[in-house]
Amino acid sequence: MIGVLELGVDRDRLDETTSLYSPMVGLDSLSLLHILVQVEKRFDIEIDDEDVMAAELSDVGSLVAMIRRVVDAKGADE
Amino acid sequence: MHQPFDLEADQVPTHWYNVLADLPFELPAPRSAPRVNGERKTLNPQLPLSMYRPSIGRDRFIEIPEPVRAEYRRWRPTPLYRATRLEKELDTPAHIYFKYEGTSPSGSHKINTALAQAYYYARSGAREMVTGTGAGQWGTALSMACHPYGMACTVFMVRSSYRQKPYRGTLMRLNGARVIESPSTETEVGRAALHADPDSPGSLGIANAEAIEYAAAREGARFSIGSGENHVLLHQTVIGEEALLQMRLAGEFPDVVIGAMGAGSNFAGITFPFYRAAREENAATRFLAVEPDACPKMTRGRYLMDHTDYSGVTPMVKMYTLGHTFTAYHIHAGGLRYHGAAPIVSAMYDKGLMEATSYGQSRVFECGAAFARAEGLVPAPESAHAVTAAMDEALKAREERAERVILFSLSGHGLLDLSAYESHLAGNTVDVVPTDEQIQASLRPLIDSP
Repeated sequence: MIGVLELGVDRDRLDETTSLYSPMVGLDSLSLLHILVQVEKRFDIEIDDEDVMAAELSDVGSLVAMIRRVVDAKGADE
Repeated sequence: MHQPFDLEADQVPTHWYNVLADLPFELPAPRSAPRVNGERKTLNPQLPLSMYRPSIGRDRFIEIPEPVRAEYRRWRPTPLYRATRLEKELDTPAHIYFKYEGTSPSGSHKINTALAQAYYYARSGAREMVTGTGAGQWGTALSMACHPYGMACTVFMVRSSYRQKPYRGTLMRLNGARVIESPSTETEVGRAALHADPDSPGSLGIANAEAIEYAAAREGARFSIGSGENHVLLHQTVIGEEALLQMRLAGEFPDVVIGAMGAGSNFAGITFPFYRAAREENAATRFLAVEPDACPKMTRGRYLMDHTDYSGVTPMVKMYTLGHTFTAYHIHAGGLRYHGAAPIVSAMYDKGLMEATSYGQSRVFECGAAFARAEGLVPAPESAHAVTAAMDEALKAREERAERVILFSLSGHGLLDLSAYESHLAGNTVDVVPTDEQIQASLRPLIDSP
């Protein structure tokens, strides 16, 4: 996931409870959108606006969970 | 007077044009916003992903969603005219054409992106759009755009404009918006500004900062902006796409395309499609951005990483800038007082693909008034900057005895700016130019930072 998110940080220093706001991850609302577009390309999915709007994105775990939901939903459709 | 080149109703563009597809270079990546508030727990993207996605991609044409196109059809295609009487009065061999965006419901080009944004925000589940507005063109456009989608609209309007142009507030309220004079007591940012200076005239930076704070605290509310972001420029290309067809009707291709330069959406809207067409046709067309002497971000600014807002909480982007703390003298063309140029326009200017010039406002009002007399349309003070440059190009053509085809964007009408023209007629218009020291003072922190 770190690779997908292109965070450029050491895997060992990141866990699911790391805040997206932490200096290590350092996301802001615009860079989050940028990363979601990269995720879409990587998994060949399209994330709905509603999913992003409804997601309570606070830490790395919540971001991973949202992406997993979308990827799984796509898998279920196929 | 002017000669029209009209399109049919079904010729409203079906696609926006993404200039990124035709740029022979990558835009510099934005830099993350500073961590200013450790207490924030969740990250709420303010832009709908479906709107943001095409604005960073390289697909050349982006389909306009049908509901947006249906809204556009209420007044688009906008007219393109040849200013034959102005040509005669200037005794020029040049042909002067202008694309007129003043026929829109809000009276300017701003509604082209406001309607598109309202569509995407409503679809993403937003129930309220919140924004800051300076002179009021953007706030007016957004208030009109929210209504068809059943969304509430809240506008923080810069206090000096709120008081100078009361009809702007009326127009927004008429369309259901809540209009708040900024600085206000509704936000921490506003209260701090009022504490520092109870008579603060306000600024767009403060108004936007208030809007961001206000939106963050309200369920279903999202902050929206209509200046130099990629998606805003993209939506405005309907202007140039229509103008391309209309110039074909006229049987000419412009030697120079001119637009007033605030943050760049009007300029990009008229020029980008012609940039593509000129490349395809190997035409040596020039693209000229016109800014006020009072806010010369392109002609005297630097190409640096800078924040897009006054308070410095937004991500940094590379742009021609005077520094985000630069406060321009309060000229009548409030829409051109923004400190930076859109990242795409900046990058193209840096590579020599665009040109820029600047004028003082007394000359701008002289030319705006001359245009109004000749063509019967009063240009908004912002648009009068483009009129001025077009007239200068036409006079140069006369001196050089050269035939020249000039196209400019008349981005809005000035019927809610008549107090500014009154001031001009009374001889009260003043020209204020920032000193090198003033510009250096707001640029220095950016130059010194790593």
